[in-house]
Amino acid sequence: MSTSSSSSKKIVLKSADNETFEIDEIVALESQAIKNMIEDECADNVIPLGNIDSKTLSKIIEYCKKHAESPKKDDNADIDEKAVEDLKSFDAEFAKVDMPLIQDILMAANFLNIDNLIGLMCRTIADRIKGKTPEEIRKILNINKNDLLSPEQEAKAREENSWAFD
Amino acid sequence: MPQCGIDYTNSLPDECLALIFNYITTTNDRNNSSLVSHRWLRIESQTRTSLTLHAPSYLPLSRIPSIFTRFNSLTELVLRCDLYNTSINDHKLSLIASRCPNLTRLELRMCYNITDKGMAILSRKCKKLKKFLCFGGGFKAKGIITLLDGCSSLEELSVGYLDSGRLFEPLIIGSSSLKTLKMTRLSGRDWDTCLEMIAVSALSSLQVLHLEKLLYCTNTGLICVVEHCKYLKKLCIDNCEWGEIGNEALIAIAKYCLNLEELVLIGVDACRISLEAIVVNCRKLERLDLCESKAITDVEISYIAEKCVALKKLLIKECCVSDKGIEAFAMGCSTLVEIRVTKCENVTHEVKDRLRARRGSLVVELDAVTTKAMNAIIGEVQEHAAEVPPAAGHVAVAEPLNQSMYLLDLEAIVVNCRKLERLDLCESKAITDVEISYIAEKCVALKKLLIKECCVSDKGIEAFAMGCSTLVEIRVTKCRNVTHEVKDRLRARRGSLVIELDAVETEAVNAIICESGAQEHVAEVPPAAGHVAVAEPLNQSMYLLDLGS
Repeated sequence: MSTSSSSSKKIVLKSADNETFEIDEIVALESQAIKNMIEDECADNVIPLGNIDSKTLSKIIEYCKKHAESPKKDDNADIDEKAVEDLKSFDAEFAKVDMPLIQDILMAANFLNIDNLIGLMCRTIADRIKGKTPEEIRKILNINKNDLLSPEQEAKAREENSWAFD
Repeated sequence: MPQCGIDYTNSLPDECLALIFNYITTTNDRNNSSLVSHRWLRIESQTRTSLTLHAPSYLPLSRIPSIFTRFNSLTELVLRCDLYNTSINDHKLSLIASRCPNLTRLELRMCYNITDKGMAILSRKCKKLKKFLCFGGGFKAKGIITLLDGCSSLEELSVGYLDSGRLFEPLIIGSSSLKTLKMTRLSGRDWDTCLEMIAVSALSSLQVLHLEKLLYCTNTGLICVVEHCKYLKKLCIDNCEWGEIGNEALIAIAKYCLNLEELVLIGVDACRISLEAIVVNCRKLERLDLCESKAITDVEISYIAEKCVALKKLLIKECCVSDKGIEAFAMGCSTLVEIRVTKCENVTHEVKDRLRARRGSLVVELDAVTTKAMNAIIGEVQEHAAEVPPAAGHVAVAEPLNQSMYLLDLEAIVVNCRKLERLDLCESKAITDVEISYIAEKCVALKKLLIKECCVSDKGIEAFAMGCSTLVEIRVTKCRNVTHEVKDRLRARRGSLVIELDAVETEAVNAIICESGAQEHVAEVPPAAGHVAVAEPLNQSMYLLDLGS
């Protein structure tokens, strides 16, 4: 927020399906990858993101906007708790989407290098498979049937697991 | 989900999948995840850095390579056996150790088949160990010294429940690089000599020292240590029942340990002068726990409030302290951020309000709610007490919360105290299935229930399958007629109820009790003592008391 003079500077992102999104530079800087591009001065006015569709990209921009607006933890030690709570509930709401979109967001966040968002998506997936059986997990995530363990391999893994406990 | 749809995780790179596993922390969830697919099995195994392994002697030799090839990223390992099985031996430990070269933390629990030889193996194969913890084992001084010699990066050593003999004299000489040393329930004869050795070997790097329930450990020994451990930051002294550590040692601590930040005193009869010396001299002292001492009264607490300069956290547990002592913190000790008072029967909730009024930001935790509610009852009970034999009367005064209560009393509480959220019923033979069933039926707000050492069986506990809809947690411990079956039955009815039973142990203990003839023994002692012996079969010290009487 310190470089408020650049708040007027805009960055344009272009999705795989050729939709363009004009955003404040401060929002784009949430992505470490875009930040590097800008710093290295290899970013044109329009940054093409050929592997991210517009639905996913608009979700990611929504996330980055909110997080760019919130005071950063390292800015000052005593940020008010309300802002933290607000961000938390935003994240919780943000994660209430179906599994295909979560996966798309995670992929894109990984590409754009947005640490907080990667963490949020991973935690969301983890939360959804907690307490579930292997079969339930396969269903939730639609795991590739060609990769399943053979009955012998599963028995072996089960036997090994039985020696481990909390 | 469509059958032929895409695998949502397929396009994720391995490092993303690995990140997901960072958030899957329970062994059960991890075990289930590992069975999902080949890829999940591989990545789950690679991301498991800590493992608790059941380590009885029947762990097959052939299993060890497959388990430890699969989990090849381990840095923390717990090998745990139990009372009812013999543990793995040195040979199997060797196999395990050679496959875990990167271990930084190793904990051995009840591995009585691991000897000094096993320690030597560890010292050669696990060179990166920083923390070693053992609670029960077949090794002695020699083994631990070898380990200390071999693992130069070892910073923390915790030993407990070992047949130590003269274990610690040589041990301590070898441990000059340690930062943390914790010793629990060791039965060495020469503690004082041994602690002098710590001094001689100048454990100048030692920052954390725990001396818990060490027999024959006196002021003399402790003074020698503290004279040399200038950099000690955390000290915990837990006197055993006839422990001798007292004011002399505390004065020495005040004199030498000027960097002390945390001090925990359990069963140490500190007086005003020694406590004052500590809070005045140890100007970095941020945390102070004072537990289980009748010598610590309002006078001592008031002095702390007045004199200490850096204290942030104070815990007072089972001391002879009343509201008056606690109230001293309304004015004194401006640095304090948290005060917790537990099991002090003369402290009421009123003092909380008064502290709050003066110091709004102070975190005040009292368990006085129960105490206050019980106080009213105690009045009644004490009248009863006059009629019952002296032994029971004594219990009523010393432990008001544990007093046997009649059905009517219990019913009166659960019906009248409509905000009662937590109820602990401990160590009473008068509390049976009948009383428990009444609670299940009548209480309207109860959230947490603990039943410990009462004459309760599955039948009583099962009443909660239907009754007391507000209950969120029930814990039953040391009730020997309660089995694991009741847990399943409760679960079937009320899935969200948290149920904690130690029923496995109880059954096993039953067998031991019958074998050792403890119950026969009971028949020979006077009735009052017999009552205690039956109620507390696990308490070892009773034999001493019995002998004394």
